[in-house]
Amino acid sequence: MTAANRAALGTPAAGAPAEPRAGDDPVPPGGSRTDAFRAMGSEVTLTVVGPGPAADEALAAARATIDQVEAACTRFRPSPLTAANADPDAWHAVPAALATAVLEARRSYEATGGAFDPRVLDVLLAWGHDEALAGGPAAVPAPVWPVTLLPSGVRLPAVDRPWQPRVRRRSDGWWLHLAGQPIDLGGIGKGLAVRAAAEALRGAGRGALVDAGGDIVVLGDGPAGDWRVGVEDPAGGDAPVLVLRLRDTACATSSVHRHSWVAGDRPVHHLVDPRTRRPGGEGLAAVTVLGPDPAWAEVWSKSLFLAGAAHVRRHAEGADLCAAWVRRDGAVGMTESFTEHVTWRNDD
Amino acid sequence: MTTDSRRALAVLALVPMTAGAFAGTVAWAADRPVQAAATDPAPVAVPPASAAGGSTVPSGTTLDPGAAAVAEQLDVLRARLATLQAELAAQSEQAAQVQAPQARAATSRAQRTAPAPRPAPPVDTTTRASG
Repeated sequence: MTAANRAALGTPAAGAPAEPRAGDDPVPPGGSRTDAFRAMGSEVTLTVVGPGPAADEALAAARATIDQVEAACTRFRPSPLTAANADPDAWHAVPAALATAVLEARRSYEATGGAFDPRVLDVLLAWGHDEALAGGPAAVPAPVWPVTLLPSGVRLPAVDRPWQPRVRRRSDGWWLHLAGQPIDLGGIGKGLAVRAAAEALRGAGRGALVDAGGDIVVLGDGPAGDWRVGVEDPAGGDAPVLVLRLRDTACATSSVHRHSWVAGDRPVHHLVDPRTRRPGGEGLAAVTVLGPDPAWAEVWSKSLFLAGAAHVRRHAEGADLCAAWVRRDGAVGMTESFTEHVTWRNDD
Repeated sequence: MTTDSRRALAVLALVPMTAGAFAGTVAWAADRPVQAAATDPAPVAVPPASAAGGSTVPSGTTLDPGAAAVAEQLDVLRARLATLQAELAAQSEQAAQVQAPQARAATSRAQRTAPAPRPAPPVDTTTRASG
């Protein structure tokens, strides 16, 4: 991020003290350190509250690890993933970040019974989901982006066999075989990057925040006690639908608010149901999941979203998840465990 | 007494006798309904009541003078009732017009006294859509 961009966003450079915002309580002694930059199709903010002597070093390490994961797992520019996708029937030497991401994606595929399946890349490409639609460099003029790539009535081939990628660690490094099918690691890749960044910031101060759009981790204290996290209104309203009080928690949101467009003559979004290969989550606008790990919070938020409004509560309670959801009509639902974190809701 | 007078008295004396004979014939026939009606009478269509609600008298029907008077009074009462209903409707409308501003004022007072939605508290960050 350039100095001009930082100024435009009102975010200081890494190591610079963050200025207090209107309405906030005074930042405790020691202030905070913040670094903001763009990565993985999102604005990323790293914050250390009450920074210790190693805060600047931790911020730099956190940013480096995010860059490392993105470089390994992006599909929007040449990367080890794009190389593996280009020849999915061959073995490829890959960095540890990509091997870890595929292994975690494979575990997620099994845990969700196939609701989480990265083999939807061909669907996203056919619908024209490029970097701009994924939230790239401020090129998306509106939530709906007209593209015409897939004629109406044309159906993509269904995934009818289990996903069984192979990952091997040998003396010369990690190797990956995609078993013939290209993949998209967008969501879980970001979750893993946030996980690594949070580990880098742990202990750097009295508290820390890793915020990568829909994937957040809060550690320890916020600027005014517990971290106060708003849940964005997926309908685009200025006010959040919920305000949460969190500590030492990951928070992931799957929403179609910023990733909906028109492919051919059909409205689509990026949360593809791998079982139908169509836009999933009928009747839902967003799902938020709290949990100990950002990658798994991301996996569960997406899987719950695909359950749709009719089944989201049953799936959330069945998996004992701490989750909230917003229906297309604006109604907000949540599990009982989630209510303990809610300090304000828009219909109060 | 003249011959004409005696003839007139004889005619007058025959009138009750003729009426009595006629009445006796009718009574005799009324005592024998089965024989008088060999088949069931055809159903008679009942004329509908008029839209105005007035009494309906089928043409060709002769009413008892008392019944005719009652029907006439009924028509008068129905007309009076319609008049009263119209007056009541007019009074209700006037009352509504008078009360409307008062009702609006009451609603406005209720809105002023209702608690405003609590604004969102400040937040440290907002979770948006994951990629």
